[in-house]
Amino acid sequence: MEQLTEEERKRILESPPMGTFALMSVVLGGMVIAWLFLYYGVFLPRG
Amino acid sequence: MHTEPTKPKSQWLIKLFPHWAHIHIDQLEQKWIAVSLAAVALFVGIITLDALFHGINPPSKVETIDSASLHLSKEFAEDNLGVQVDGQGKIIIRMVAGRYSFFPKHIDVPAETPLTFRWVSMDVLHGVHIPMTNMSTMIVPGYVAEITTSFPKPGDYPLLCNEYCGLGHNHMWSNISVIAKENWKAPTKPAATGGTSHE
Amino acid sequence: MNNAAEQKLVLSHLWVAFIAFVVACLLGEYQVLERSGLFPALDSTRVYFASVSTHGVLMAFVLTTFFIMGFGYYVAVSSLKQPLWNLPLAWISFWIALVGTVLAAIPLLTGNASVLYTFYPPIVAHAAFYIGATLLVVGSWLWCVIMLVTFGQWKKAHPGAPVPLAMFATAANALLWLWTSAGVALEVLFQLIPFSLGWIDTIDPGLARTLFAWTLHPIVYFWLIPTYIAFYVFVPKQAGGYLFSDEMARVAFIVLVVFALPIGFHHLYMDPEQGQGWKLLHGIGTFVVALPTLVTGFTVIASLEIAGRLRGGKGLFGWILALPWTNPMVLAVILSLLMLIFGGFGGIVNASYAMNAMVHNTAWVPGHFHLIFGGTTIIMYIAIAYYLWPLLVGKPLFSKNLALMQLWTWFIGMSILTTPWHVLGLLGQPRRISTVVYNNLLTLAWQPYEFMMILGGLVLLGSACLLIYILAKTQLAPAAEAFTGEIEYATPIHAVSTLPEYLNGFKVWNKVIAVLMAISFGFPILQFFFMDTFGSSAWGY
Repeated sequence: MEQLTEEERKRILESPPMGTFALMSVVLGGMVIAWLFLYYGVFLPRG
Repeated sequence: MHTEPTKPKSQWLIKLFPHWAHIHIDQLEQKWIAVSLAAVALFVGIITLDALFHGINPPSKVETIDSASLHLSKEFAEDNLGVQVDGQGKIIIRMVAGRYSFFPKHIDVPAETPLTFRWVSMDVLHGVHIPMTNMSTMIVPGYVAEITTSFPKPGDYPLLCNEYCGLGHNHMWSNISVIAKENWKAPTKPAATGGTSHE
Repeated sequence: MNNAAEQKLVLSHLWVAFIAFVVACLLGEYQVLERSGLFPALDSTRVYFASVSTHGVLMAFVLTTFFIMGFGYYVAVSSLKQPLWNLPLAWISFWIALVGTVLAAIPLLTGNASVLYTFYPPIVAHAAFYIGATLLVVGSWLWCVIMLVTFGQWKKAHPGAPVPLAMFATAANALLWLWTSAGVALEVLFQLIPFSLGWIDTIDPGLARTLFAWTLHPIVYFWLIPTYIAFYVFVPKQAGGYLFSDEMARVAFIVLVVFALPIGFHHLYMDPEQGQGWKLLHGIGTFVVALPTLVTGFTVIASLEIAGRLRGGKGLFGWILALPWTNPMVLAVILSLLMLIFGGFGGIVNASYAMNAMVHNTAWVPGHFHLIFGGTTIIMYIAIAYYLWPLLVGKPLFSKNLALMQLWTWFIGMSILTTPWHVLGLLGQPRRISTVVYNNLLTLAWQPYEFMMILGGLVLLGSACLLIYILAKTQLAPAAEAFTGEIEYATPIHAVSTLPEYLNGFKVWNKVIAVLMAISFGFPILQFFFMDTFGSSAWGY
């Protein structure tokens, strides 16, 4: 574990969490697509 | 060193609730809340519009009946059960659920046609679904469960009980044949109205 | 918590919880073996339904309630740094709950309460089952009193100060439980106990299902909140970082508690005794309660991202691998969140109003709740246990490597068990069957999935036994050195010095809940008293 400078530390603590946003957007997007597939592709065609 | 460019869109939550200004809510988190709200709005929107304008609803007619005396009722007396066509050409299927089968045990219906099922229980709680279709409803004693649906694909399907109703629950099932629309013939017995008619 | 008496209280609760858990796991594996039909010697409908009733009660009511109570006492003492208020009452609560559990267990294990953990009438069990269940709930209400009194007293003694997050959330959960349990309490006290004792001849099953539905959704949040508490107050520090936002955590807990309650009808979508309008209203509310989970995911993962970057992780996703995966709490949250993705998605499908017809009462439903509860929720209970045990017994964890292996196998087993279960539901297999005897070709498609579930269940059973082994060894085996650690609550990146009252207390939220409950359940329950309904007599099984 490399030692971070005080400045680097502060930057990490103050930065918006881009990785989290990207990850969660992909997951939520996947859920939306999967839901639409189930709703329009399985549920409605079943009558 | 790091200057936060305050894009107004990302501070929307603070703008909505100004006294939250001293609560630090990361602008990316605010963006995420907006994204989540949009996704939820999409789901709720589709569901609500389909419910209000396309009649896509779960079975929900609140109608009571005395499950202990079905055989004495006009509608669910044994010779009135099964598939019938009413005066307006509407196909109504009256079914009784009871340990451990669904009665009548075999019915024939046309494909791609609206069918109205009316389910009652003669004893305990049951549930019924036909796999690969949307014919699914609970059957609560004391209530008539009415559900209108249609079956796109002809074939022989089972009706399966899907709610625990006793030790025989595994064996509780019956049959339905979905026949191509052009080949299905309506039953000749007229729908029972007031009295019982024996032909 | 250095007080031996308090440690004994907490450990007693947690042992009851985990013993119930491992017994229930054994029953679970028996059930999946029996249901596969591959072992004719096991074939017995009577034993199966007694088993599944016991399994459900132990997992859903005993494991949970005792764990939540024990964990709550620990949080109250350690986060507020004060002795527990009214220790004698806490013991009374424990004994009432335990006596109730044993009282209910007797008919369950002897096949006299094979009504499943939902006990829908008019099928009726031996009265001792309902009375025992009532005592368990009454015991838990005393816990709620202790939590809320503790909360109120601390606030009075520290005016204007933010209540530590762990206690805020625990008190919120206690409030939630009181509101939640009222539904089933009404059903059991006014319908099921008199019914099972023969004091009344008939009851309305529609009313019973409606009252149970009141409880049935928010109870899962009662179970889930301790998991989220661990996410917020333990995970960030264990990962080597800070809590991304203390205030957003409070917002999430509040929205969770308020919107978990007025939405029970998504369990009644296919029922005839409630109308469409009410079902749609509850459905929309159900989508609203997905929001605090989405926010929790963000806040927790953001905390992990900060921790990972502080440990040297670079780039958009490099922080993930930089996290300390060999810390049991950190491993558990990663696995828990993975299961939350699929468990949460399944929940969204279930919530989707008319689309519920696709999955209602099919095998999809137990697949869903085993994943979200047995997976996401329980894996964090396990992680909390690994974290608290050394603090409670003064000895280090018996083996960190075994703990990590146990967490991995729990995740793997749960994935193997629940994935085919969901597929079986989409292929039309009903739930609550003990064997497949339909004379229909459709059922042939089900067999490979049943077989996979046996494997998943075996892995889970092994994992559950390993958990008990680790905890027992930690507590009983002589240790080379004493454990002198202290509990470490995560600190937020931005310290919280003052909070608006609505993020530090529940007065206004109580009123909001009351209004929402009146809107969502008022007419739907009152209707039974104005309609001409026909009751059902008692039936056996």
